[in-house]
Amino acid sequence: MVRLGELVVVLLVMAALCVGMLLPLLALAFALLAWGRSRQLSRQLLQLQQRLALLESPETRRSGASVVPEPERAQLPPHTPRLAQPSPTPQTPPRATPSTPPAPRRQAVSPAWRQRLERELIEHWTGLLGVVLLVAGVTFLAVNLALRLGPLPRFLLILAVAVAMLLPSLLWSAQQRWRPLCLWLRSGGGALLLFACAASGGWPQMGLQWLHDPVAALALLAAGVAVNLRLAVLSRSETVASLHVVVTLVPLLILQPDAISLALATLVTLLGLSLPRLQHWERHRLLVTLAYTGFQLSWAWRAAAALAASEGLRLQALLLALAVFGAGVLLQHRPRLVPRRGRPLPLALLLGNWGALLLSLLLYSSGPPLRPALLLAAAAAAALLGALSRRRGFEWLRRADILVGQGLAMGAVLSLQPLIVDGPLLLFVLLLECLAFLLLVLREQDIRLQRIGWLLAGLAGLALLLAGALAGIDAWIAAARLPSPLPRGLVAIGQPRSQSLLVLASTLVVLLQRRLRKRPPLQPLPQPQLAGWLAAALMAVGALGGLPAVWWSLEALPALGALLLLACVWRPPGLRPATTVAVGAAHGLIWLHWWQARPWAPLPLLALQLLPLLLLAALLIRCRGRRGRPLAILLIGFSLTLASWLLLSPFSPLAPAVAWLLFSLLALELAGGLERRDARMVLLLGLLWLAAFVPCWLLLISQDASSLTLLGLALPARLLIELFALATVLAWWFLRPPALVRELPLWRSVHPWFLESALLAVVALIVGELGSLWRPPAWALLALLLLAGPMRRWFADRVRLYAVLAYWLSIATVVALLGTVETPATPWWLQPAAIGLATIGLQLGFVVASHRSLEPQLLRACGSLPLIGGLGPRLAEQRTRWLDLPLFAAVAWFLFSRFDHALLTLLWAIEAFVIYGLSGLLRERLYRRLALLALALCLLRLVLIDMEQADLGLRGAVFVGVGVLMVVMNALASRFRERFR
Amino acid sequence: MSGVAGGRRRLLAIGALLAGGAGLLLLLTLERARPPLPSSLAEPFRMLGVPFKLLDRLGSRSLPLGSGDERALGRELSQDLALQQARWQAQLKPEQRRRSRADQRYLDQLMVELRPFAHRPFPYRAFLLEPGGAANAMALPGGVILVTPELLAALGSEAELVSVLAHEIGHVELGHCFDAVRLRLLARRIERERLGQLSDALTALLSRHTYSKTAEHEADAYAFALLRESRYDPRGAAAAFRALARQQQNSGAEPRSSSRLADPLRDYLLSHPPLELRAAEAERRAAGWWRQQPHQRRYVGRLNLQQRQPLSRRAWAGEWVSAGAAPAGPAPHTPLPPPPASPPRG
Repeated sequence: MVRLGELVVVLLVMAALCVGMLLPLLALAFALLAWGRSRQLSRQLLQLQQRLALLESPETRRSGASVVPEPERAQLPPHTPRLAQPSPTPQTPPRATPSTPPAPRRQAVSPAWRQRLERELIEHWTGLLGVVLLVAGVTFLAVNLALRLGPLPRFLLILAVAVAMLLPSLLWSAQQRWRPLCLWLRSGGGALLLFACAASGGWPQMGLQWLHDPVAALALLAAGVAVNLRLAVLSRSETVASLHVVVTLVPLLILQPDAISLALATLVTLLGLSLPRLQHWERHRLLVTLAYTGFQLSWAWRAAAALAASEGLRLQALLLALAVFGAGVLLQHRPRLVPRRGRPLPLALLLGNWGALLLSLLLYSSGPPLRPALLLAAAAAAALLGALSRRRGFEWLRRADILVGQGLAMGAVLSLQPLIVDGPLLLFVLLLECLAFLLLVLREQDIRLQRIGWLLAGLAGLALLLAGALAGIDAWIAAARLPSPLPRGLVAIGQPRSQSLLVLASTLVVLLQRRLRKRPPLQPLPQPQLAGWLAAALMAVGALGGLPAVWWSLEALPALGALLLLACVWRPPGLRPATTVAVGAAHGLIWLHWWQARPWAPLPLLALQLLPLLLLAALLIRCRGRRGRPLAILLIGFSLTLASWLLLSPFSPLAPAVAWLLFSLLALELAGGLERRDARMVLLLGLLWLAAFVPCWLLLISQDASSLTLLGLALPARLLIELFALATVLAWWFLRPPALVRELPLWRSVHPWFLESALLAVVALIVGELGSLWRPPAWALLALLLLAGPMRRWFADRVRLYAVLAYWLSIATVVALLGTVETPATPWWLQPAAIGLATIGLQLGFVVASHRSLEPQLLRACGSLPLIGGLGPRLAEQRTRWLDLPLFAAVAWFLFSRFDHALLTLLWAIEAFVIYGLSGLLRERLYRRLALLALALCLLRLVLIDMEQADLGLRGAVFVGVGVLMVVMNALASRFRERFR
Repeated sequence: MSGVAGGRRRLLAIGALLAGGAGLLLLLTLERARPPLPSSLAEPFRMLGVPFKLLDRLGSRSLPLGSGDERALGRELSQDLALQQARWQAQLKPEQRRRSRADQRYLDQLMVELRPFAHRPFPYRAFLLEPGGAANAMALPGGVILVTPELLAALGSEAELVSVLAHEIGHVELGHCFDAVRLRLLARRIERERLGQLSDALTALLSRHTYSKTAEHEADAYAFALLRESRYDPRGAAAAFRALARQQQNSGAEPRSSSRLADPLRDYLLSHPPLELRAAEAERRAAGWWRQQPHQRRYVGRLNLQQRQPLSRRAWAGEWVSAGAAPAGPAPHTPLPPPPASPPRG
């Protein structure tokens, strides 16, 4: 029983709550008023300042003085003219103005900003924050006090509050001014009452449970529900009424999830839907339906174990759900409640009811055959209602019912899944259903329904395609003997059946296209070509699904070929390009299959795999004519590439690369006799074959060390292949095709690079095939060769720049290699010194030849790669510095590092002599000076070093040698005086 | 007329090319030519290393260092190694010590035979390392060569051992060892040897992988040239590589060649070309040499290696081979070719 002390505490709490709620509100209101007033005063102050500023005279402004103090000026908005500062002009730059130094200005702005912030905090935010803190404190106190009470006093307390909230509506609802507030308070009171009643019987967490008898608790809850339903009926606002009904369902959630609680909720919902005033409000009905759906879901989730165990409970729940949602659907079809025109709300209500019905069927039916039967029955009911609506003239309702019926029918098909475990088969049935629906709606002349039917058929086809693709992937994985990550049932159980279904589906889609072409709908269906793409994709996936089988080609070829023929004869939209793509995809997949299933015996590869593919490509040319020919050429080319690889590599991995070079030559030759588009494709193929040689060379040929025996001669296979590749590149450079091909952008952009490609091949040959000692003379020889007169005619002007590069390379290798490295070989011609001297001879030859061949104007005109493009002009300007002096320095170094230092003076003197000779030959004054300088240095060395270090004989020889050289130089100078001047 | 003639020439050229290519294709298919590895990028990387090695050499040439610096360093290294060897040999059991000393003696005798082929002014010497490592040999600056006892166990003949020693001599003769310590040598002059060592290590870490395969290829070529000039069978180089490959595969350090596919990163980071490639290249060279010298007889020296007696001390009759590769009997009237005289040094 309630004690007196507890009642006093209740009263105290209520008083505290009132005070606690009122005081903070008052404080908040006061603070807001004060803040507004303060802002108003600030605005006024600002206006006054602006006025004052406008009253300033121009002279005052120009002098830089201001009547406005610095802090206030800083507060002015940015657009306010700066009164104290004259605007800077070109004649008076700001730095020159002593009256406006920048630093003090920055110092003045910062305090103003801080002052403003401080003022803002002090005047406004302290008050607001204080109110918030006060409200929070009072709330905590009230909660603390309330928690000290027992359940019943709390219930009574809440009841009192609820009654207090209900009272104003009884007293002041007649007054218009207070009416809305009173009604809101009344509704709040009703909700509070409901929660108090619910918590009194079965919500121990709230600390309000004081009734432990279930019947009494249920009775109390029923009373609360009744009050709320009554309030809903009494309410004039739809929103309030909906809230009352929805809120009534919430406490029912706390009850045990059994049939009684569901029945109570169903009863409340039915009442909430069907009471006279309430049934007219569509939004109310929608909200209540959704709330009940939510309740059902929650109930089913909580009662999952009981539902699984009891068929009867499932049936009861299903019947209750049918009662509510069926009633909702039927209510909506009552003629006086159906609007003439479709609006979003009634449509959402209808869809909500049907959707909830479908959900209930899925939740409470145990699977086939009950579930599909129920869904089918629901679909039939929807169709009947649609017919009824059509008779009554509610067009939008008819359309909605038909669509709902189609949805339920699709659901019925999909719910067959436990019976039909084969995913593609199930989806095929779905496609059949969708196609049937489309054919039905095509008779009705309802364009919207037709479009939806078209879309649904497309989606079903797409799903079937996806399932077929997954089945195909599964078959590939199985063929590779790997565990499949795909679930059984999603993919086909029997692979051939799945293929047949896809092929059949493709045929059906093509027939549908044919029907649409013969008897087109009122308005064209959207994206008709998509059906063509779908048909082709279905056919491709169906045909390629059996690819791992060896005999695949013989099965798939007729299917794809037939589709190609159908596409070309009937010409349904989208089918021809789609089939072309499918043929391309078929090629790609079979190439992949070839690769995976290698190695191949020649006969199966040629007869069963390559031949059908080539026939398919040929059919593509036949059917698609000029449009399909480039693709067909490309496909044939790739098929040949891969087939040659698979056929030849078991014999020799080096052979495919040679075959590709041969193909490339054939392509070059064939391109000349074709039309422009075909020629471009053949040319592209030829280039691709040529490019494919590069990775082969990198990975295979470069490491090869085998020999081939021909007529008793053992020839290195690698060298032969490389020479053939070089010859092929040169053929691409020299054997120019007819003008039609030469005008192609592809040819014009690629052909100039064959020179660089050939040079690169030569470089690779030298680096790969020659030992390090033989590379310097090889570079020098290459430089001389490139400098030769015919080379420019045969190739291009820029070939001379490459000659210079090779020459430099030879110089660098002489310095780096031949000067120091050793060899154990004994023949003199294998000695680095001999090779070095031979190289220097070649380099000298280059220098001499370059003076005749590398004319400055030619060098300036050399166009080439971006990196060395600037080389020509530079060489033209300072040829001696870039070509001759490096050689002389390199020779001096080579002599120094290779030969005995006792002979060095003589050797250098010989070098000086050669330079001197060159100066006469080439009429270069610089050479002469250089030679004389070198000779002077030699003499100096002779005196300072050789005199001291060398033995007498050697010293003599050196002296003699140098002397002879000088004499000969003199003789030469006398003999060829003109040259040396 | 000229157009017709040009067309005919063009047809002739392309016909010749196609015929040549088809012939080459036929030859490849009939002879079933196949590379040593299923695929590899080691050879392209080796070729790519050629310009980098050239730059590296140019860098070495630009320093004011000579053979004298390298020789001094080699002398120090030799002294250290001799001390270390004496220390670890003293810890061995008497039988092991005896065997180890016999190995070292054998190496010394072989080096005496090989030294005339070298032209750089270094006192070439091979040191046996402590047992417990892999089968390996390496070269240090100044003509110092290190050999593990496991290498002697892994190889099958003296010709193979000579090819390995020749390879290491090649590293010294071709300047690879000098290139690896040039900054150290330079820093020795200013008594900052540690700094130089660190710089060399850093340089090697950053750039050595780029051209180390090139250097190994050069040393292989040097070794083959040395074998060619010696009395040993040039096929010894290939046999040595095959023996090392077997040893590596048995120890699990290398995958089987049949499963070895190209891997750009691995092939780039390899310090040496794969042994299969080196063996195939050495075989090709040796086969070429034997084709040119069909009447020559060369020494293999399986028993020499087993008994640690070099060819200069004892020649077994059954160890001489001819072009047919099978060990042939002795050539009683053919005197042993003398070792080549040392060519004049620079």
